[in-house]
Amino acid sequence: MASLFAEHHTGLVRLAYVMVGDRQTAEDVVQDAFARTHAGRGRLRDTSRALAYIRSAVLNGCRSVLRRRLTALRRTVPYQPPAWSAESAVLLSEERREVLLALRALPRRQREALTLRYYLDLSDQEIAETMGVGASTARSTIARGLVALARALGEES
Amino acid sequence: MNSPLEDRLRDALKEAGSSLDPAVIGPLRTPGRRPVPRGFRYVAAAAVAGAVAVLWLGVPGAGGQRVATAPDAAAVEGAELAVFLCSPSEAYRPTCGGRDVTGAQRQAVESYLRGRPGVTQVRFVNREESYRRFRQEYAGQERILNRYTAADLPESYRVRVKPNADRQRLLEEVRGLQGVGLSVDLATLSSASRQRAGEELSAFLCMSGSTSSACGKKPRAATPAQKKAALAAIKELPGIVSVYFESRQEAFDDFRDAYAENKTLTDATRVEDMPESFRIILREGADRKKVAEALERLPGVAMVIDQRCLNQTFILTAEYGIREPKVC
Repeated sequence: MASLFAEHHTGLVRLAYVMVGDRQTAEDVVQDAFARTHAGRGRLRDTSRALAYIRSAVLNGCRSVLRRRLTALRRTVPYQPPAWSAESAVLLSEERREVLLALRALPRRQREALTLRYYLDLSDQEIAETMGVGASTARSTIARGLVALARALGEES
Repeated sequence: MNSPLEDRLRDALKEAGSSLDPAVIGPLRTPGRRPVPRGFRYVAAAAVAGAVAVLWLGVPGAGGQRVATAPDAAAVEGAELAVFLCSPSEAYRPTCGGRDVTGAQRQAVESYLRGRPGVTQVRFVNREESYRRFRQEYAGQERILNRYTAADLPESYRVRVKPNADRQRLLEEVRGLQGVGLSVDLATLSSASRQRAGEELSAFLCMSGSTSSACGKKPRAATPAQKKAALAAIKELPGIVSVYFESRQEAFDDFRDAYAENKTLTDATRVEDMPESFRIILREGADRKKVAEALERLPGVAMVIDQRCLNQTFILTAEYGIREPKVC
């Protein structure tokens, strides 16, 4: 388990980073997922499923971070914009940023499904497992997400 | 077949992901290593590290008499939560970017805390007050005193909550606020440092699945011969008062007691997950570091934890907000 984590650590932090937008939080999310998964490893007999399990834990961690930020925003406490956003010093090309901002504006499930597909290149089945939904739901969520993204970017898909 | 949109999305995500330099990603701390409390990992890390490091009291000698180790509920309820505010110090740089908390942020944090359900008291502790208590607590310990000045200690809010409040949740929420560098439940501290286990050196033995490099590439459990040899060698080390062998079952029983309130954790943990260990008490004034190093060299020993060192680290972080203190 520990070696699995070491092996995928950088990748998992990057995934969390893409989702939450800053490094420290991404590291914290992954560390927390590690702690939780480690605590639950007794139930994890099948190590081939371990990675899916960890991905889910990271995804859940990202969700609660985003939820917390929303709470903070509602209370008008200033929050850190994602590193790649327009307000931030880390500048991606205009074109990339436009896509990422549009992605961020999508509903949560669509955003997650698209990130898992187009960042991690996961299959429908893997995405379904990570998100805790059925494969057909994953597939349709991706399709709907792409349509919404195209609309947001003013493209015909 | 990829549409142009899919390609755009793929490229954008790839670039966003790769704008994170792997060289700046902090290493993952596995439970096989000494836990260094850091930010919101504090509680989670302590829970995992608990499997190997915290809260045992194996009184050496005949009978192996034990003292209750579970943190009692009253002590937890009475303990404060500490919310440390951003300071320019190096250790806070990852969360605070080297900047001090601003007045507006401080106010926002305070009103946020006061507005949470279950919060009964919010008290501000400035640098001077924190430093005064620090001087008192470490009076006579020049090594620690000389290392820190008032400027190193961050300001904090000390929060009391109702007995039924969700302490963990509040800690996590407050971490999402700007200007907060660290938040800690001082209950973790009181239960750990009350223990006389704080004095022990613990030598954990290899088991299959050990992550310590000392156990080799294919870790196997320490053999009976290794254990026997280790025990004989330990008895010869300078400054040893007593040594006690702790079995998996004993470790597991204590672990279950210590984390009785965390059912998920105890359910997920089995006797086989617990390492065997030698519990060593040293004479006051003995060279702890030297003994620890000698222990680490023994075949079959996965790692050595100096509980006193661990506790000091905990206290400096939880009470004074000093992140990653270098005390031992």
